Amino acid sequence: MRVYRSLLRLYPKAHRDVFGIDMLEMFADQLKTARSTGPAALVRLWSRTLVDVAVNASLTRLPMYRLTTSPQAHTSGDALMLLRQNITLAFRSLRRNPLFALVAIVTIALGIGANSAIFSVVHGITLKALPYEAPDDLVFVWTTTPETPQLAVSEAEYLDYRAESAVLEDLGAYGVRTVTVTGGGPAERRTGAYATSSLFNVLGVSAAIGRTFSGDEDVPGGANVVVLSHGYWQTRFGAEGGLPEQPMIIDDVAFDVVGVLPAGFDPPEGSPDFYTPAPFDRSRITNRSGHDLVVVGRLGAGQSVASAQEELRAILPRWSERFAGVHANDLVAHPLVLAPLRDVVLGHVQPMFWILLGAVGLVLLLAAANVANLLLARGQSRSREMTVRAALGAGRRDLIQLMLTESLALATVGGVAGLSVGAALTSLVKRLDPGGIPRLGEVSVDWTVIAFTAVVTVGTGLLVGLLPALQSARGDASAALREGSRGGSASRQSKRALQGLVVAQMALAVLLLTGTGILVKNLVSLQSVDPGFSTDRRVGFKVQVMNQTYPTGISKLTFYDRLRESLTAVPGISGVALARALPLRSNVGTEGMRIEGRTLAPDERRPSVGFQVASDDYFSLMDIPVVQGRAIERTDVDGAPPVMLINEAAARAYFRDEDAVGQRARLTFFPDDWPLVTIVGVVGDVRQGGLRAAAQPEVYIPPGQLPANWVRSIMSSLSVVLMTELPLDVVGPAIRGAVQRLDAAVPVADLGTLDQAFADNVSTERFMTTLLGLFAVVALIISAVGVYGVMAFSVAQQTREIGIRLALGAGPGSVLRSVLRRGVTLAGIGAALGLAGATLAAPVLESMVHEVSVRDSLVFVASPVLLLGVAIVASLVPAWRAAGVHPMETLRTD
Amino acid sequence: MHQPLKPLIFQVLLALSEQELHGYGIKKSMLARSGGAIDVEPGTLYRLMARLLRDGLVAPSASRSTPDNGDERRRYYRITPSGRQTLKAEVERMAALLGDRAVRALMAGGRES
Repeated sequence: MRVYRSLLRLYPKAHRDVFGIDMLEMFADQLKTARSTGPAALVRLWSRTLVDVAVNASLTRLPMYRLTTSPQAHTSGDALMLLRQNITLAFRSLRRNPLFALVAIVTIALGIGANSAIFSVVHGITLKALPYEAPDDLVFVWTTTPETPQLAVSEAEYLDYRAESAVLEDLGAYGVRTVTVTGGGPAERRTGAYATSSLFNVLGVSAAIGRTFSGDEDVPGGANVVVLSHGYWQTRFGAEGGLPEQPMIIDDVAFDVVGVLPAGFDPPEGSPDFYTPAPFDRSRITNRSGHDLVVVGRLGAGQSVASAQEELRAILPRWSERFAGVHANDLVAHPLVLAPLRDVVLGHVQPMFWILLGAVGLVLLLAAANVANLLLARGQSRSREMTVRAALGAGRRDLIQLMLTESLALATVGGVAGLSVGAALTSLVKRLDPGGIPRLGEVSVDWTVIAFTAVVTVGTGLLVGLLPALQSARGDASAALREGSRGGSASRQSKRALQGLVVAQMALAVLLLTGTGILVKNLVSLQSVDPGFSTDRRVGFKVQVMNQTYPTGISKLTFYDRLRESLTAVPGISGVALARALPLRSNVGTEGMRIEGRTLAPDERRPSVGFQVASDDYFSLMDIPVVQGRAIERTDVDGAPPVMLINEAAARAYFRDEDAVGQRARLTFFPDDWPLVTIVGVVGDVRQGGLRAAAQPEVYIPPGQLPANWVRSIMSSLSVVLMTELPLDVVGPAIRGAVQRLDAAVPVADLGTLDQAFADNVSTERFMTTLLGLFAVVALIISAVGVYGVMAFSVAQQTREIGIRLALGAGPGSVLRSVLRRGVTLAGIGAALGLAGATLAAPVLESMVHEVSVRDSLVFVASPVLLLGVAIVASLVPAWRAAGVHPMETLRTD
Repeated sequence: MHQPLKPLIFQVLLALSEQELHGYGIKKSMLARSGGAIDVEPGTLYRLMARLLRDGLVAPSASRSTPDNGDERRRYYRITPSGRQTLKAEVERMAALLGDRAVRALMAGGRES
């Protein structure tokens, strides 16, 4: 008995209060009977009772068994049960209309899938791009000049700032360079960093194995130790047995491996394979140039970015006083700047993310509008069902709840499907990797993404269901019943709602289409940009020669000469030339230039030029035109009169009214006793740093005519470009073989065609354009379906009216036209609104678009025209159906 | 024509149409009438009772005793006029069904086998 009493607690309280005692008594009677019958009857009674309680305790929670029916009785428990009932009803109703359900679910799944994919990318990158302790306390420090808004920091600046700042708890710095690793494997070119010991403390990272640097290692004469990245440790040392015992040979110097960093760690810029201590010595630094350090600071307790900036504003004037004259005419102003690390690391990808999130948001809105359309149209035909429910006592609130549950059920199924769509899209995005997006490879669908998808799903369900729910709940019972068996015709109000949704869809689609159009046009014009040289059949790579093996400029030059000879001897290679850096692959450094016979006013900026080195044949091989004078020739060697070429940009900027050829100039880094260099030719502009930026003023100097102190460093690494008819996979091994035969310790790096370099240059644009294009196509399909649905529905609703018109002598043509006109009018209003929106939203694209205006007129005309075309096609089928209506049949449908 | 009543509801109303009963009484009456085929547990029965009460087809009885059982704690139920009307409608529906040619043919066939 006691057991049964506690089982009764499973029933709702209201039910228990009224029937509890009776049920108990009844059970007592049954128990008495069963006891007298025998143990088998007792077992049967108990098993039946347990099932009975389980089933009925649940069922009595359903609203139809509620003892009171007033809305006030909705307690939370009841609401839950009501929800369960509504869900059952909702799924039943969806099962009854499988086609409707399928269309709605697929639409929602596409919309939600696109959103969860882009969200997972954005979330993954913004979260995982900063794998540091308390990343929001980190600031990024750089210097700025008029030419280069974000320039790396020099050693002197770093050391002075670290000594003077009180707001920053500490600063760390590192520089990155390409070095040659030998010992225990083939010679390879690797990216190594030289870092201060404070860098690891500032970022809050400790070694996964071993240790990072100690404070007495990053000083002059400190130990030669190296800390490896996790990835490099795995690839070079097999990730087994802890730290390798043999030293690593970096540029011919042995380093002891003392630690391995945790997997997934990378500094804010670049991803070096290993780190060696940076032996900075303030007392030996005399200038403030040599800007190649990445500097990160950690804010002290209670300090903010603003207070650090304020402190910097106090420090900088002291510096300009102390170091006045150090940079006269060269780098007039290059103050330190700092900003939150997060903004700096993610700054360049953030606009892209916002655009993508905006685009998928639009797609989801479109999808939601379509499903709302479907529900509205269905609500029309269900108005009778709703009226009956209302007549049977369902309150408006119950009806709205029922409808909302239905749309939520749709959204939930769509959301679950959308998660798989999202996962698929995420891997697509990863495959499209344009490069330059930090840690794209680690992006995955995780719990946050699932939570986001859940929220979006619920939001979509409510959004989709609210309008139709309100519509059908508003339904006037008697009117709907009077309309009788025709399933109710659209009330004026809900027709307006349907049309409003179509207009909204059109507007959103035009918005998306316009944005995509601008990106497409930008990509197309970017791809047709003339880089100033020919890319086809050109293959480039980089080599580095060791100072130990080739200590002098002469020995290096000899190596390069022999390299050119042996490469030219390879069958299929028809020309070989050298340069400091190949265009579109990397930029060249900027130097000051003094032109003979010119004096600068005290505050005048000295001409600055990109400093390129080029061998003879470079211009003919690259197809760079010699505009004036001559190119660099074989005879321009050490000892011959020093010559240089300038490009047209330099001629325009610095020799506006004069003939540049024959003038003499020198670069500021030349030693004082270096002779003036004669400009012997002007060559065409080359987009050295990338397709997006116009060519900068540049000078070309032959490799044999560099001052001795520079030949050593610059000539350590040169780029080789060659002309070949052979594909890369044939010519590649031949190149490696030729280099290897010359010197096995010289690695070949960045081997690739210049065509590929060109393609890589537009990869970000292609990535964005591909994704947005995909979304735009989806948007177009969705809105076409929307227009079709609404037009088909309204034609179906007006079959009788159309029939009457036809019976009264209207031609099918006029019916066709009237349906089309209605579709086009809706689309037209939507397109106009969308264009207005696009005009307002255009600046969003500013950071992505370089070659065309963000309000490009062709695109602004073409996208609404395209959409109108789609709207016409979508209206055609319903229009034909309307024109084909047989008058007699429609009048007979009752 | 109205929808057929659920068999259990029909049985409950039928049991109450004879006399006022408490839960166990209804169960016994249903068992007897169906020859043991229809047996309900308290949960099912009182769930139905809740619904019938809400729909106004049955009501709690004013009197709490019957000649054979004087337990004061038990609640007895009676059929309401609308409950009786519903029951009558259902019985008439069944009766009408009995007049149906197909049903008659079936019954005749049943006798032959």
